[in-house]
Amino acid sequence: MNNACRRKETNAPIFSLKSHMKQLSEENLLGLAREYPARFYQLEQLNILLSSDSVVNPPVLAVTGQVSSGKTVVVKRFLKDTESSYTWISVDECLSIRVVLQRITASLRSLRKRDGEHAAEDHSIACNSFSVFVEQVNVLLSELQLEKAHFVVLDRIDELGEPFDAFYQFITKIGELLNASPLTFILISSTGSDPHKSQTTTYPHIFFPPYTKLETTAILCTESLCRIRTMLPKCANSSIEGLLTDDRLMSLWTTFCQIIVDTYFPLYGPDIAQFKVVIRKSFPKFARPVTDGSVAIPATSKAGWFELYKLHQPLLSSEELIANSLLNKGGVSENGYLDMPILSKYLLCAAYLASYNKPKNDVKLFSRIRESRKRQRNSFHRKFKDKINLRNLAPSAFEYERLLAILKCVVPEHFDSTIDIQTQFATLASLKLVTRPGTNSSTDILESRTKWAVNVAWDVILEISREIKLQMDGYILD
Amino acid sequence: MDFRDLSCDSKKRSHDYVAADEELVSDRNAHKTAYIINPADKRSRSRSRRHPFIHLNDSIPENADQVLSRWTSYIQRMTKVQTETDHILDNLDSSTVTNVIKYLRSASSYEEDVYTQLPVGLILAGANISDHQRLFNSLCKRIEESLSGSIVTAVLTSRDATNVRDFMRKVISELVKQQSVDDIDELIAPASTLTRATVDNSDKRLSFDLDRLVDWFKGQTLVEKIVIIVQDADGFDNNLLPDAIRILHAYRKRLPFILLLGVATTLPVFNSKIPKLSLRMMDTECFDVLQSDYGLTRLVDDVLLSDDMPVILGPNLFKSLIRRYNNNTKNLDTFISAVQYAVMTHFFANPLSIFCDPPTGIARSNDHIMALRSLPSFRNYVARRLKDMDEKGNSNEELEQLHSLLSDSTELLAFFKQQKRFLFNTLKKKLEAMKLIEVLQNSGDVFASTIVKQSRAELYPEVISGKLSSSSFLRDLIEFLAGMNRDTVQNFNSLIDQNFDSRSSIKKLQKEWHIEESSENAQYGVFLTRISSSLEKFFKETLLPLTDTPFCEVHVIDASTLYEDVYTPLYRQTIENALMKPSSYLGKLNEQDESDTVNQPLVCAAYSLYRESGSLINIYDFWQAFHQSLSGDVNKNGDREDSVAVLDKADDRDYDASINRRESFDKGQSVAWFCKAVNELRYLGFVKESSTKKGPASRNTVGVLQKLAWDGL
Repeated sequence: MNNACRRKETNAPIFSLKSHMKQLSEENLLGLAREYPARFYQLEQLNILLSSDSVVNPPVLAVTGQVSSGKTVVVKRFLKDTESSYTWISVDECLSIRVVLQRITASLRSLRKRDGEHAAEDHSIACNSFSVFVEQVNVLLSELQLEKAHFVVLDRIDELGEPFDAFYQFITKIGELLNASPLTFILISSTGSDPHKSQTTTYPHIFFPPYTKLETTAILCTESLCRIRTMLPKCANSSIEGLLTDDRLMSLWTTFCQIIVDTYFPLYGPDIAQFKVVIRKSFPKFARPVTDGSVAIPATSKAGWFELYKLHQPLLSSEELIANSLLNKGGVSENGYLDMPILSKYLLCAAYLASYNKPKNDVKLFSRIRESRKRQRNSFHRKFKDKINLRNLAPSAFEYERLLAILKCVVPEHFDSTIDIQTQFATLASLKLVTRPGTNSSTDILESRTKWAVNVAWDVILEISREIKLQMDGYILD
Repeated sequence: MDFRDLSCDSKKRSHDYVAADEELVSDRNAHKTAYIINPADKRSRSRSRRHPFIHLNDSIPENADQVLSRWTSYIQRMTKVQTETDHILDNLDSSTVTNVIKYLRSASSYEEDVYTQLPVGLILAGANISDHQRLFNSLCKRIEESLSGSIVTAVLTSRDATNVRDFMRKVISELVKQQSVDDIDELIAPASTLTRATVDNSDKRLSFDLDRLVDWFKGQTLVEKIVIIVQDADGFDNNLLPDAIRILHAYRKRLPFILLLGVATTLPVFNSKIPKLSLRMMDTECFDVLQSDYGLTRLVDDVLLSDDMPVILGPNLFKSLIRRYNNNTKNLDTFISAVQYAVMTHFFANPLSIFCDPPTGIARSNDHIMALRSLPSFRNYVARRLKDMDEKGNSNEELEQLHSLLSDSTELLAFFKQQKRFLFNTLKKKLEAMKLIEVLQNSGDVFASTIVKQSRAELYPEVISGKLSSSSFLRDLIEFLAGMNRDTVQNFNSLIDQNFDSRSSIKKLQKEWHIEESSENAQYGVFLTRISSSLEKFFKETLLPLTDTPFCEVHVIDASTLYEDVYTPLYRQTIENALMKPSSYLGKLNEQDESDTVNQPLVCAAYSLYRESGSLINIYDFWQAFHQSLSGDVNKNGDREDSVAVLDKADDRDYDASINRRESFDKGQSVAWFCKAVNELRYLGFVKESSTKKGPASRNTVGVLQKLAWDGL
C-alpha cells in the first residue's frame, strides 16, 4: 500500500509537465475528492490529462488498478462533471471483440444529430474486423465533424470473454490509424497494470491504488441516509422511530461498518462491492434489536454498544456471510451421496483408483499373487523416483477394461457385468464425474478402446468410500 | 448363460413383436440400410387381431375369447396401476416445485440495488438423470399455470450449448420465440432470423448479443422476471457456467434474471466446479428433491401391495428387482416398467391367468381345470392332506371331499375361490404385520442402536416366503418387546393408533393387551410378557409362507431369471458366445459336422485362434494358423457339392465368401480373409495393432497384435 502511494506521488509531477487547460476548478476537485475518499490525485490527473480540446488529448488513456478501487465510478463522475461527450461501453457485457467494435460504431453513429436530438443507436451495419472498424470510424468522423473531444470508455476491458491482448494492442495504436481523430479511448482494466507493458507504451496511465482499511470504512460510511433507512427493519413503536434521529442512525451505521470492515478485511481486502453485499445482508439483522426496543439506542447509552456487540457475536463469527462456498449456506440436508446406486459409487471409487495408481502396481494392489510383492523390496532408487505423491498430480487416463478389472476386485460381492454397468458409467460420464481426456476431435468414435480419467477430488471420494465401507487406503500407494 | 436359454429367450421376444414387426425379425438381410414397409399389409393384419397376445395351444388349447380375456384383464388392471404410479411419481416432486415457485415469486427485484447478486436456485435433483425431465416439466408447467405472464422461462440442457455464445444464443432465441407468437410487432427480428443473421436487414447485431434481449425486454410490459432453467448444470464444459454467470451478472441491472440450475451431483462436488469469483456473484438458494427411496416406499405401499395389483410378486422376483434398483438404477421408472413386464409375461405366457379375475362369462375348458389340478402346489396340498389322514386315521368325509376336488370341476372351482380369498386375506395380514414391525422399529430409540432397522422393501420378500418367522431379526424384535420401557410402550401405543384403523386385527390385539395396566409397577412385568407373547403368536400365525397355498402359481409370479435375462443381459458373454459358437445364432449350416470351421464366419475362426494365444500375438503366426485351420478343413471335407447346396438353402450373403472359399482356396484369398477377420476383431475391441522390437539387433520390429479384451470381466 505504501509503495502504491509513493508511486502515485511520483507519477503526478511527470504528467503535470504536460499540463494544459483545466476543466475543473481546484474547489470542484476538492469537493469530488471528499465524495470519493483517497482519489484526489487520480481526479487531478484526469483533470490534467483530459480536456475538451481534442488536439491536446492523448489518443489513449489507460486506467488501471485492482478490482473495486473506484476506477469506473471516478472516471464516470469526472466525465459527467466536466460535461464531456462520451460513449460508455461495458466490455464485460460483450462476449466477443466483434460485439465491442459494433457497439462503438453504433454509439458513434448515434451522435449524428437529427433535428437537434441524438439518434437512437443504429445497428444496421455490421462490423466484423479491425480494418472494417477503422474504415467505418474514419467515415463516421468525417461525417460528424466533431469540434470537441469525444471520449470512448472501454470499461472492464480485461473481462471480455475471449483473449483480449490483440484487441488491447489494436486500441492503443488506434491513434495512428484514425485521421485527425478527436476520439480519446479510455481503457479501464484491473489486470492491465503490467509494468512491462506500461513502461514501454507511449500513452499515459493512471493508477488507482487499492484502498486501505481506513479508506474502505470511510467509503462504506458515505451511504446516504435515506438508503440506510430503507434497509432498517420496521420499528416496533413510533417512540423508537422518533428517538432514532439522523445523527444517531449515522453513528449506528458507522460503527456497524467499522465492525464489518474489521471482521472481513483480512478476507476480502478492499473489495467494496463484496462489503456492500455483506452489509446489506447483515445490517437489518444487526439493527433489529435496536428497532425492537430490546437494546437501547447505542448513541444514547454506552451500554447499548456492548449489548449489541454481544448479541451479534454469533452472526459475525459465523461463516454464513462468507461467499467462498455453497456449503456454508446451511439449510440443505446432506443426503447427496446416498442417492446414487451402490455400484455407481464403487465405479467412481474404482475410477479414482485407476487414475491415481500406476498400472504396474495393479498386480501388487489388487491381486493375491505373492511374488510380485517380494520383487518390490529394497528398491532404493524407486524411493526417490516416486517421491511425488500421485494424489497431488492431475489424474492420469486409464482404459475402460482396467476400470472393470479393478471394479471386480473392489466390490466385495459377486456381480455380473451386465449392461447396467455400462449405463451407469455413461451416467457418470454425463455428470462429468469421469471425463475423456484430450479434445473431442482427437478421439475416434469407432475406436474400440476408450480412455477415461476421474474428475472428482479425494475428499469426495473418501466420503463416498466411507458410505460403501470401502477401505480406499488399502488400495492406494502413498 | 446357456445357449438354449438365449435361443429360447429370442423366441419369446420374437413373439412380442409378432403383430407389428414380423417382417423385420425374420429379415435375413438385417444389415440393409433402408426398408420399404407396406402399410396396406399392416392394416389387414390389424383387422384380424386387435391385441398382441397369442394362443398358447402348446400347453392348453385356448379359444379366441380366452386369449382376449387374458389380454383385457391385463390391460384393465395395469391401466389402473399405471395411473396410480403416474400420480405418485408426479406428486413426488410437488413440494420441491412449490418451494421453487415460492422462491421465484420472492426473489429480490433487481432494481433495488446496484450491489445485488444474481439470484441462483440450485435444485439438487439427485444422480438419477432420467427423472430430471419429469421434475423440470412439472416445474415449467407450474410456472406457466401460476406465474404466467410475469415470468418467462428459457429451458436449456448442456447439449444445447458447447460454449457461452451458444448458451446466450439459445437463451435469446427461446425467450423471443415465446413472446413473438402473440406479439408480432417486436422491436427486434423474430427468432428464426436470429440464427440466420444474414436474413435480417435492420439489425446486424450478433445473435448472442444480450442487447437484443434488453431491447426485447423494454417492449414487454408484463414480464417481471426472466428465469433461465439449466436442467443439467453438471454437464457443461469447464468454464461455460462461470462465464454465463458472469455475463448474466453483468446484465442484472437491466435484465431481471433468475438462474435455476439442476444439480445431479452433490453440493460439494458442484461447489468444487464453480470458482470463488463466480460464487461471489451469486445469491444461492438450495432446493432438495426428496430421495427416490422415499418414492420407492410409496410405490411399494400404494401400488404393488394395493388391491389393484392383479398378482403378487414373489420373493425372488422382488429381491431381484430391489437389488437392481439399489445397485444399478435407483430409477423408479425402470422399476415400474420391470414390474409391468413381469405381470405382462404372466398374462402372456400363463394360460391359467384367466383365473386371476373373477369369471366374466368366459367358459373355462376342461383342459384348464385339468391344468389347475396338475399345479404342483395343489398336488402338494392333496399329498399333505392324505398324509395327515394317514397319521390321524382315515376319515371318510375328508377323503370324499378330496375325491370330489379331483373329479368334480364345480367343487374345484369353489375350492379355488376359497383359496384365492384365503391367499389375499393372508397377504393383507402379512402387510399389517409388516406395518406393525415398522411401527415397532420406530417406537423406541434403543431399537435403532441394537438391531439394524429393516425397511418395508427389505422385509417384503422375507415375509412372502415365510423366512421371517424363523429369522434372528424377529427373535430380536420379540426380545425387544419383552424389555420395553414405559416411554416406548406409550410411543408404540400412540403409533398404533395413528397407523391402523379400527377394523384392523392389530387394533383387536391392542385391546387384549390392556395398556392402561402398564402404569402400575407391580403389573408391568406381567404386561410385557402378555404383549410379547401375544405378538409372537400373531407373527407366527401370519408369517407362514405364502407359496404353500394351493394354486399360488396362478397368483404369485416369481420368474426372476426371465426378468434378469431381458433387462440385464450379459452383453459381453453373449458376444463371446456368439463368436465361439455361431451356430446357436445362425443355425447349423452343415448338419454332419459340429465343428465346421469352414462354414462359420471368418471372425469366428479368427476368434477361436485368438483364444488360444497369449497376450501378444505375432501377426505372421496368427495368419499361418488361420490359413492352416481353413485349408485343413477344406482338405478334410472335400465334399464340395453338399456343403454348397446347404449354403444355398441358407441364402445369406455373408456366406457368399464361404461358398467361394471352397472353389479357389489359395494364399492370396486367405490373406484377404485374414485381414477382414482381424479388422472385425479390432472393431469388436479384442485386439490392437502394435509392434515390438525383438532380438539384440533391435532393428527388426515385429508386427504383433495386442490383446485388449480382458478375460472374465
